[in-house]
Amino acid sequence: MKINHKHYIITMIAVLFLGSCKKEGEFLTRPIKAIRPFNMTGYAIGDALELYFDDVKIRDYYGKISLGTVSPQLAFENDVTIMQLRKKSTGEVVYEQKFNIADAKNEVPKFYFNGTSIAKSYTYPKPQGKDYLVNFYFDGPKDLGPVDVQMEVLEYYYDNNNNLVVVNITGFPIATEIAIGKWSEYFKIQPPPVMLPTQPGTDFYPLITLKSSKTKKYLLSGDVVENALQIELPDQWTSSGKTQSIHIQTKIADNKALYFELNDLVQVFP
Amino acid sequence: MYNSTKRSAIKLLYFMTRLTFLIAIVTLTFSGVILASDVKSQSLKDVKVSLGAKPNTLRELFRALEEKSGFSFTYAQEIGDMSGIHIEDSTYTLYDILKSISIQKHLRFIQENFLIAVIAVPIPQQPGRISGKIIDDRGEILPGASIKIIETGQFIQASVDGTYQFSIKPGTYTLEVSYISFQTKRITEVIVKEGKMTPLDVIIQPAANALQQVIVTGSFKKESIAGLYAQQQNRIALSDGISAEQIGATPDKHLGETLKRITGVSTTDNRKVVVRGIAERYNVSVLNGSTLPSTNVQERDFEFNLIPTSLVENVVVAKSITADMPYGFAGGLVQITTKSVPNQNFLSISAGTSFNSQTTGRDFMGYGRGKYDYLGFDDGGRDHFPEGLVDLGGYDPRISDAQNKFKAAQVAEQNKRIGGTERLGTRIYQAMPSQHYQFSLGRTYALDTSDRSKIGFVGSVSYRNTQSNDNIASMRRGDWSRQPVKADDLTDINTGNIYGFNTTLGVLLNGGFKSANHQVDTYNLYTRIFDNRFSRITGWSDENPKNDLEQKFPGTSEDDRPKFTDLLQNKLSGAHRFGSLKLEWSMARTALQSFEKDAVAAALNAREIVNKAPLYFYQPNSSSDPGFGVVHRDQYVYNEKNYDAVVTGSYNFRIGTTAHTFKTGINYLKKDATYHWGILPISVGTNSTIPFAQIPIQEWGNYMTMQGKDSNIFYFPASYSLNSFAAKSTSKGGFVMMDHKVFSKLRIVYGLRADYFKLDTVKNSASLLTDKNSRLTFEEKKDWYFLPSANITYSPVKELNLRASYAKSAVRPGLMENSRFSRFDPSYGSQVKSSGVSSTIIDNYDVKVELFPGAGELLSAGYFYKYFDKPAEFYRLDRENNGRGYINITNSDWAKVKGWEFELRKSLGFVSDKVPFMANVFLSGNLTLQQSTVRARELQSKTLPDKTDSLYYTYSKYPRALYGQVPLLYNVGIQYAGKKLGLNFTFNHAGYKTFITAIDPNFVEYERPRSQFDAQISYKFFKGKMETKLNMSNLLDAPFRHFVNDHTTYEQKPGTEGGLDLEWHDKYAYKYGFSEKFEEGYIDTKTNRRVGDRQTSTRYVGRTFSLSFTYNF
Repeated sequence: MKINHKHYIITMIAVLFLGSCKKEGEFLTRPIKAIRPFNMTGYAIGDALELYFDDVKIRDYYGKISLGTVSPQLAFENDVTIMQLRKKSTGEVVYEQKFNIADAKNEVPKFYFNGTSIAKSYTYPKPQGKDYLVNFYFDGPKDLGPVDVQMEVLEYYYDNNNNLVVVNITGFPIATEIAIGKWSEYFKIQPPPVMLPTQPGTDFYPLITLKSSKTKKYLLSGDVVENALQIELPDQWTSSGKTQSIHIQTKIADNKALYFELNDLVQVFP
Repeated sequence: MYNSTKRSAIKLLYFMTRLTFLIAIVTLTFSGVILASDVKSQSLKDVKVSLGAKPNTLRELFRALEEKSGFSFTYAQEIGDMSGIHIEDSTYTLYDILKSISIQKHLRFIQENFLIAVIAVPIPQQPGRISGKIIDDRGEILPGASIKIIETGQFIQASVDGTYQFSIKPGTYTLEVSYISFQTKRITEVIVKEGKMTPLDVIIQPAANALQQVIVTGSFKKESIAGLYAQQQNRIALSDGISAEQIGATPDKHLGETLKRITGVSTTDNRKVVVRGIAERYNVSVLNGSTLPSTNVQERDFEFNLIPTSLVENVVVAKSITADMPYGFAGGLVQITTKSVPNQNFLSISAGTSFNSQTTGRDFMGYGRGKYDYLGFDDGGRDHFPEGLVDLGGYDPRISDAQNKFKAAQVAEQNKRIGGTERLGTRIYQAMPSQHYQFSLGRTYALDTSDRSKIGFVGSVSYRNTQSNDNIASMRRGDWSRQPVKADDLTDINTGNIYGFNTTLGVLLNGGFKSANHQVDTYNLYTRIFDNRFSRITGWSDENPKNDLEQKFPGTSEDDRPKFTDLLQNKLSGAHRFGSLKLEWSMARTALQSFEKDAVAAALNAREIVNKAPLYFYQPNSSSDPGFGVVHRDQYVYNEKNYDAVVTGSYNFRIGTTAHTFKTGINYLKKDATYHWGILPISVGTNSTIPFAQIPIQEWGNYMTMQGKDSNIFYFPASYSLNSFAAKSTSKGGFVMMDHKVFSKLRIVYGLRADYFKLDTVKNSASLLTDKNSRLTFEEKKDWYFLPSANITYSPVKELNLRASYAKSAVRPGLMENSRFSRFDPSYGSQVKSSGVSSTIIDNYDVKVELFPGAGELLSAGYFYKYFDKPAEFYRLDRENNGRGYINITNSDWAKVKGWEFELRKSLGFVSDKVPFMANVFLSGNLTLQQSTVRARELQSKTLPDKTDSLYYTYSKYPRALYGQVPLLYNVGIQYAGKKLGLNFTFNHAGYKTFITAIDPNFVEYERPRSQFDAQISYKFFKGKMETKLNMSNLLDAPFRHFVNDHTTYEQKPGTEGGLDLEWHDKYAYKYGFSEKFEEGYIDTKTNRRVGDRQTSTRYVGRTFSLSFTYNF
């Protein structure tokens, strides 16, 4: 048959018209078969963990892992859903668990991720006698360099307007040159020494602070109080020893200021 | 040479010719006999021939055939030289080959035994046409004028509309036009080409002495230009328009695209018409003289896409008013005239497709579709409003039947009758390219030999399906959060899409009868539009802004509006001439039904669970919520019927050399409208145990049996959600008008119109609980208005017009503008409601200078001033002080609008005579500069000592801009219209537009300036029978951007704290660096909040490329 321009037109119309006949669409939100309770706790350090369900990334975890504001619920679109924890830097699956719609309870056993592999718990030495042991894992910007940890005893008083007035600061080093991104060795913390007031009406208060090993300056802006770490100190009446494994993360507040977030892994894994 | 010798010579030649002929025949006969011994048959059908190499010329072909068939061919040399022959490479009979050649080359074969003589068949000449109008020096048509072709003696009379048409052999002719008491005019050098139409409008002058025969002679070129001048110069009113010929030169497919080519006219989404920067409410659109009802119930707009350009005779936008115009306006009167009796027969088929850069091939979301959505009809899947729905006000699903106003079984039965929720819930479809098809036919039949009387019709059937996806890049309007919690948080934005699915069917059938003195036409238009707009916006509300706890993830709002609109307009009109008296009449019926079926609003909540961040789910309203809540399915049915009739009579007379027309007429327009709404909130008892996060909305219908806490979802209509509005209005009027043409240079037209309007609301229910006790203020001061008008045109020289005009006009309220119905409009992000609208009376003043440097060329400048008494406006009010308010339509006190208008239309032919195509290049541009001021007012009430309520207004001290104002508008275009190729580039710019006005500048919403660049390429194939058009629109992907002057950009003036009754301007001033215009501002580092204007909406529509093919048979 000889094809002329009229045939072209008819063909084009037919293609367009028939091509438009797909009517059904897929639902944007897929139906949920069941919602079941769920729980997961743990700790990740050294590298972040990515949480995947059925190959869909849900969120990242670093530091203390708990559900927090997330509803402790697991939605089943199918009878089975597979959870994976992947190492963020490489994508390597470090943990996998299958959950079934028939199970009444869905829980991930508490775990510790050291940046390479998953373990059931974080291990630490038990204190001998009255020893107060502490190690540090400092997560800060790489250009910050190593840090020093010291105890600083403040001699202070409150003025008539109830303002804190620091008269003297005496420092006692605990650890120096703590590298960024790795656990330090364990250090013993001694109770603060007994000191004599330099003027009447003052009192003493010990604090643990962080300074740059290079500049010997506080890492955060502000005074000594603002640079204090919440670490438990022994005193002369302490009857038993203690181990603390302190993970220090530098974070940025809404007002763009740096602050420290501390977690004691011994408390997470008692 | 003596005559006898001549005769002898001729006789000898004749004898010799006959002798030669006889000898030739005898020779051929004998040759045939001799050669016949080798051939079995002389029948060409029996002789099979197989050709080897393809011949280039007929000579080569005939030689090959002679060798293979034994036949001999005799032919002239020019036939032998013919090339370009197509013979299939296979064995055929000699008959087949000669038949094919005969068709290809217009040849005839005569067989005489074995001799075949080949002769050329003359190609019959197609006639050409001369067609045009006969008009007098005032531009008045002259029906009955005689037109004669001197060379052939053909004679016809102009029809009642002044048109004439000759069908004649190609050649050069002289036309003679005569009419009683006019100078006879001869036009020479009228060239008629084969199959072509030669347009020629002739203007003839009145004779000073009727008895004296004066013949004026002019050339075709001179006369055709004069005809064009006469049309441009003799329009009574200030107007701009576009004719069928001009539209034909553009690639426009429908009227929506064409309107913006007219000076001072811009359109929004091809629906709303803005003329001279004045909003659509003050503009009127008429189709063949009858008003077009709005296809949107709460606003004035019309889908101009419905009217294909091929059926349009012309579009004229009148900007000043004469007494004979029955509909009041302030911006412009858009008059669309469709063809009735075509000048020539035509049949055309057009098909096209278009691709949008952000729609086609991408995900396209929407609720469940029907089987026939592509055809524009519902398949019944949206029928959820059975008769006799019961208002369940007072029902409490938590208490027992005995204590309840309604029994649970009753509610369950009503739920069942309404039906399930299967259609709800967002689906993902694939967006298809848009497509359109159109079939148009026009026929004309002469009723007498002189072609004076004829009947004819034009008809068209069209189909269009368009899918669009508007990308809302930012939404900070209405209830949406007005700014991010942290200015530097780029994820704290509200975004979404508006998906548009539109199927339009149109049938147009016009017909008419035309004779020298009478014309009767009928115009019939039926259109059906299925328009489904689905908005889906995701973000945070202003009440619950983003935070890291329970508002970590945004919620989603959905709004699905499937609307089926039917428009049927039937019109009969006539024009009759009895000597100097002309009578025109028309009557029309227009019916509009706008049926919004199963419109759904729903919201998705976001909750973060372990494996869904977030988990989205729909949640019904709480049964304790007295309103519609966030989930409801609705039905809105608007019916409007218009009946209109117009009768006018005009009488032409002359006093000396001056010409005058007296015109008078009456008009009547009756409108009836009903509006029914049904809103079914989907609610649930507060004690429900249904796990909504697990139940998709499309399955909610399974939980409506009302048998306990686990099945207590129900439709919860209240009295105000099943209600209606009914109104009727009557407009009537009469006018007298005089038109004087004095000294051929001065024309004065003046008149007086008496205009009556009455609107009655038969039923006017509220649609919101909060409005149940509200009242509308309808202050129509009087029913009758007397509206004078006057237009003066002075033409000191042929190329120059000076015009001045004044007119008073009345813009009447629409029926729904006085309804207590209100509804959420996603375009505004809030409810739209009326506080009562009455007529606006406008004083219009215009002056204009027009210069016509050449045919079709124009240079003009004009100034206009308008005073609006009680202009009706859309403005935002915030009586509840929630920062969102609502859009209110009601009258302000007064408005003043003034502006300048400039236009240029120039051919580039003057650049160089040596480059002929330059004459086909036109440069056009127009510029409108406008400024408006409004005195706003606010209705207040107080209780008088006698404990009765008294209403009064408070007036704003400081004027503001009129709603819809666009202070700067310009179009620049360059167009090339060649024989085959057409190019058109246009650049359109609109300045700051006052989108929504308000007394408090913090609520005024502006649209930022927008520039759109479009290009079109068209090309004609197959001798002009097929035309391809490629339209590229919005090439710059210009977004629509709206903003509000945020409160962070201004500060309180010192000393005004605690001041009572202070207006905004008394109390506040813009901070340094900020003004009423858009300023993005900066982020305050201390607060991490933006100081700058709030960008309320940013919407991208994408670039569209459309390709269409039209074939004319």
